[in-house]
Amino acid sequence: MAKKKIMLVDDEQNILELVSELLMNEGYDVITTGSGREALEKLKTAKPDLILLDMMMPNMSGRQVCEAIRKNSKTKNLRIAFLTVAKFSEAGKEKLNELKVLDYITKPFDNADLLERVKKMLK
Amino acid sequence: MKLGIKLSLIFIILSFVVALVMSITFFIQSSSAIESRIENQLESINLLKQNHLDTYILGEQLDLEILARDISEDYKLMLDSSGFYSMELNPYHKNILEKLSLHSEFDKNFIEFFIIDKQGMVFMSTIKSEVGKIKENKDYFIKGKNSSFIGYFDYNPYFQLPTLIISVPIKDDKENLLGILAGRLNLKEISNLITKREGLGETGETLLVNEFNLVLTDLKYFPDAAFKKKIFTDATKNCLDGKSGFIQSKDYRDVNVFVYYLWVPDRNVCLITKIDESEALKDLTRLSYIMAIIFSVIIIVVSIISLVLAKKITSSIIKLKNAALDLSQGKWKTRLNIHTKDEIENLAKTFVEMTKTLKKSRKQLESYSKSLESKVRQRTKQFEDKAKEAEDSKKATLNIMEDVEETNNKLKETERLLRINLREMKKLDKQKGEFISITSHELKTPITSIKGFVQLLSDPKIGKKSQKRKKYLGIVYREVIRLNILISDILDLSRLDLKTVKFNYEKVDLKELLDTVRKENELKANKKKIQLIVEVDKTVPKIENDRTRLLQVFTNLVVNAINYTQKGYVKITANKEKSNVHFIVEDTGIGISKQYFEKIFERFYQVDSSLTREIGGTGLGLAITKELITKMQGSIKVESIVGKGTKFHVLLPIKQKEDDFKKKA
Repeated sequence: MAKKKIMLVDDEQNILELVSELLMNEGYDVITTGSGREALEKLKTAKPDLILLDMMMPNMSGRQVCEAIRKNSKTKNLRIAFLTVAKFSEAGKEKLNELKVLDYITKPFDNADLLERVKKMLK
Repeated sequence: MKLGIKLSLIFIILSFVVALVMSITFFIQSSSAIESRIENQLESINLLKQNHLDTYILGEQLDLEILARDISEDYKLMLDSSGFYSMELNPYHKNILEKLSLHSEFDKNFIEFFIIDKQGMVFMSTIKSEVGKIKENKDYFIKGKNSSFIGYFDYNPYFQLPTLIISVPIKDDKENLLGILAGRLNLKEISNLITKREGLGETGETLLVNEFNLVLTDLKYFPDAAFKKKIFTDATKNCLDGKSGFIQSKDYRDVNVFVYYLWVPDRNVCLITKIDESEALKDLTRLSYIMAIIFSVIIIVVSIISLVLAKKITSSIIKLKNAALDLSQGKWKTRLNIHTKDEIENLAKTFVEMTKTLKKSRKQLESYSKSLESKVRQRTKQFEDKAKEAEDSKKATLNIMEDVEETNNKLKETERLLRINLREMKKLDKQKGEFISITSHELKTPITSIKGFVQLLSDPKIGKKSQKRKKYLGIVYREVIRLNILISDILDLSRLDLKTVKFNYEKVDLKELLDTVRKENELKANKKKIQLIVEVDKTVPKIENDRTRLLQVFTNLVVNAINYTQKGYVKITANKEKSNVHFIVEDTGIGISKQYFEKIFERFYQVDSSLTREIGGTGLGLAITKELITKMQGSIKVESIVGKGTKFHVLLPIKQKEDDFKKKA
């Protein structure tokens, strides 16, 4: 079976490094991008099985990136999960459903928990 | 145009139009009624005349029939008793002649009687010369053999009269034809009958015209016209075509007339009754005169009424206008003599109300302005007092450099700063929620890294790889330091916000202070091969400030400058400027584009976050710096050209106006 490909989007270099290390240790292919714009650019060619998207980024927030992905007919069906510091309100959760976001992982996360959730989403 | 004239004109035009329309309608209606009345009149007269004519002729025919029966026995005996030498000697012949003469005497309408024998020869006649004439081709002979016959109107040259022949058969008691009795009627009588005026007014007349357009009766305007004059008019033309009807046309005199014509086929004549138009329409003319008078009277009355009415309406409007004019000239009129009980009175009332309100508000305004004036006067006095005080203290204290004006300026400046502070406080309050969420994000980010990497390090697989281990430990270490700086920065800021920071003001030697800054950062600058220069002008005095905080401010600025500069220099200069010292922290670094000049002082704002992370900034340094400078009653602003370098201008007062500041606050 081919390796599952996961795209990471986060403006924090350290977080990118940490999560990609965790995922690669589990045998996933990882694409790292430092901003929403970079992610959208890479999505023109890459077709990841899952995108882990940081919510709070300068210039373009995770939500804006997600909306852009959903608008594009080529990428609208991609699996997306958020990485976030904030806890969502009910309205926020509704919005997540609207954007067809599979899950949101709260920072700081437990490494094992993160891997567990990723595995679940890729089933 | 004036309103009054406009209104009256409208009224007059309206009434004129209404009256005109009414008059025209009435006139048309009555003229058609009159015409139909004339038609009826003429028609009935015409019928009456026809009736007369028929009755007359029938009467004469009856007469003749009776005469024929009367003479039939004698006539038969006369025919039977042939053998007389001369007819004149025959007693029956004589009898008959006597009877005829007698009848002629009795009935003057017949001017001749004659008897035609079965062969068509005049056998006997009241006019002797007629005897022996052959009449076998005449209608009155041919038709008269069978039954009574009425001939056509004719002109008799012998009598020189218009005549009409009636013939009846003479029969014995066994209905055998013996001969024909004919009588010649004098048509003068008929002419009189026809032309006799009956309810036709002055110009009305009735006439008969035969198929050759010849008039058979005497004409009113042409005596003795009978059988002499021919008439060609529209009426005769139509009538001789066999029609009957009513028209309006010219008569034989070329005068306009109303005509009723009737074709009488039995007599082969046209019966015409006519009346002059001028007479027939006499009533209508009179009617139109009356109408004209009524029309004029209506117009005059309406004009007068409308003038009066318009004046009444406009007079109240003029009153209102005058009141408004007065108002504009400052005369207050709170009463208006308008009682029209309509919208104008309402308007006047509203106007009066408005005037009252205006008056009231004017009074209020005046009192405001008075109180304002007194306030200004009071304030001026206060200022003057203050100025005097300042003047006094200037005289008393040689140390005071500033004059009164400058003191005032300071006062104003402080006030302005206060207001700005207040505004900023409000803004801060509003941004509080946002700040908390950003802060928590900023704090949780290094914590996430630390937690994740520490977990990773505790993983035996990774823990054994010394290279990775070293790298991860380094990340954890840097993130801990970052967290530490971040926390102390946030604490600094929140202390500043809560105003729990105490400033210990003392006289600070700037040369010494900035040299300290240089020494502390020289190592870092030298590493990047950046020159660090300090230039303090000799005229710069010691300034009243908190030394530790000043050090913090300039260290922040210098560290920032070094961080964002790759080559060249970082230079700090200080110059005296009136009651302030003007510092410039200049670098030859990457610069900042204009759109970020304000934003860089906001909390957690980073122009390029990846660069900042590399450098290890928290995004709070400039916010703290600005906060500190503001607290020191100074100001900071930035000027920069992207790619060339940045200059931070800091202005700090030489003396802290602490007392004044506190008073104002």
